[in-house]
Amino acid sequence: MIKINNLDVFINKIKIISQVSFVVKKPSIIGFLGPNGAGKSTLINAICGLPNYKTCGEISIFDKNIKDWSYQDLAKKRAILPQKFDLPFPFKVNEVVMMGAYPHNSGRLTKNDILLLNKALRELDIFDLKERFFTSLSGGQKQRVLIARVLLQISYEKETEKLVLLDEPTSNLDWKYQIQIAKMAKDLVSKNCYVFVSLHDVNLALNFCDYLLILKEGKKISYLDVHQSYSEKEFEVAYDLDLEMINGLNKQKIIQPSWYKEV
Amino acid sequence: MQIKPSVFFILCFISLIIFLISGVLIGQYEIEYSKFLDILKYLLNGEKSQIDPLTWMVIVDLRFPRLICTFIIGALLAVSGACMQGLFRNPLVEPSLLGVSAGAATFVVIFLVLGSSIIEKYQILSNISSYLVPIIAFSGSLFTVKIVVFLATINGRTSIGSLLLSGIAINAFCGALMGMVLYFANDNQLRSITFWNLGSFSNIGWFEVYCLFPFFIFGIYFFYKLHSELNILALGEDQAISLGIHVEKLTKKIIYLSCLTVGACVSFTGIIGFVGLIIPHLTRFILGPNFKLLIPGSAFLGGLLLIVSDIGARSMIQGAELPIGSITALLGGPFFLYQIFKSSQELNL
Repeated sequence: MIKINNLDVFINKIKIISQVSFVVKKPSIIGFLGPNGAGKSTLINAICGLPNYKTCGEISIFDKNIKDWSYQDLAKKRAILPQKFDLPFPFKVNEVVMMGAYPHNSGRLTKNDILLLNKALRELDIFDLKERFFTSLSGGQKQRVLIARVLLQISYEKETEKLVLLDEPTSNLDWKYQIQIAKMAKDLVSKNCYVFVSLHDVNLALNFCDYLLILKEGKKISYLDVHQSYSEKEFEVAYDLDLEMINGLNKQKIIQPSWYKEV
Repeated sequence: MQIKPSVFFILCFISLIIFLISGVLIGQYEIEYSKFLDILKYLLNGEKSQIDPLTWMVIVDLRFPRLICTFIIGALLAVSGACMQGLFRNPLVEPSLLGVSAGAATFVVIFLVLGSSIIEKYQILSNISSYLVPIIAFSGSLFTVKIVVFLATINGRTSIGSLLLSGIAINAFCGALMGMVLYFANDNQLRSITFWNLGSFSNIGWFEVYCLFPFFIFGIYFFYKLHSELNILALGEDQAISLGIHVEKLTKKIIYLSCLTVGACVSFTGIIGFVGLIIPHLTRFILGPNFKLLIPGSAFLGGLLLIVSDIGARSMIQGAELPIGSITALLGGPFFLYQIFKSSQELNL
């Protein structure tokens, strides 16, 4: 169980998130939506437990307050994909992905590590890139390498619950890989993972998340279950736009700005 | 131009032996090869043949300890440079960034200029003054780095960014302080200070080897133990924390390790620039950025470069010795530029 209760988050003493609460009882995909500056990334990083994000209120991960987790133990159960990333030195792709194994092997490689590494590389379609320099890859390729690293980090402990935080995983990816990430997230849920994902693409979120947390200016607008009924109203408040909902053939939902029709 | 690590280390080992032998033979006092062989035989088998006492003195008491010291210092400067670059995630960082060298230099300058009058007054001190300079330089570097870390600690947290800034500030402050004190120096003092600032191995003997050896062994060992953490740190501070690394502890470990090792080197030889900056680069071009190979590779290359530079420094001009710092820069600079131009295309830097 993951519980966020009355959470305030500060960066350099400025309040970015205020009074956010929600509870996730079993592994599922929770999408964080909201316009730019709503606090999606801040919330993700705060739940990750990074010390630059001062928190007030409760973050409880697997029934233990985040402040009581040690960095090492938490790293075995929780992985994060950052939004911005750069690498100062020309590491190779397999070296970057292998860093995900550090919490489990402290840098000493075993056969099992290589096995899991290759599995993660294949899953993200980057096995052929593994000897390339990370710095020479395209934006989308880099993103997939980093996701493979996250995947490797949580692929060790099979039985226990894990948490994956993805900060805009689809930002540099085109449709094919967006769908691949969405499928991967669904797959992770079946492997006992909670997936928290911040997204810009509302329709992508509607079609693969289980729950949506809609934020605006650091406050919770609504927390809704995608499998239940909901309306475009919640989104209109957050995005400050007139929206309309289109019902697709197989019950899939699409929300689009009303402005599209006027053009 | 990456090559296999095993090939690289074998090449390094062979060149180390070649450089050691040529370092013993080359110099102001010429040594015949046969006399060198005699001494080698004596040292290996205890075979007592004709040994020229002067040759013995030059080789065993002067050149050999100097070669060992040169290697140790080159290795330590290069390794701590590599680790500092990893810590700051910036390939332009060198070990003196946090004021190790500037602090040592400031203390030495103050001592040489203002303290000399005190030494002249008290006869006892003058006997130990040659040992005093290293001690003062070492305490200067420790003190300065301690101040930099103190300034960079805000609300009990030491962040890497603020370390960089306070390092730059303290370096500038030390420079200004030195400039002011130099204003009061006489010609003799100015000369010895200039030489100290460019580095020199001319006073090295077995005593210095004994002093530096523990720093070498423990320094390289502890740096090497941090290699996988340093690799992870390349992902960034937040990513490293999310992978379970206590970044603040790691930062302090690396800073104090490099402060101790570089401080020890600087205190005996003066400031030797450039090795800590370019050797990690070169090693990265050859072996890749993985610290598991980068640390031993830098140690070898740094030691070798400094040995070559020192041989150059003491044999280029008849009857005189050039400052080693200028030789490392002369040798390293063009080679470094060549490497950068060559690799910038393939690595997309």
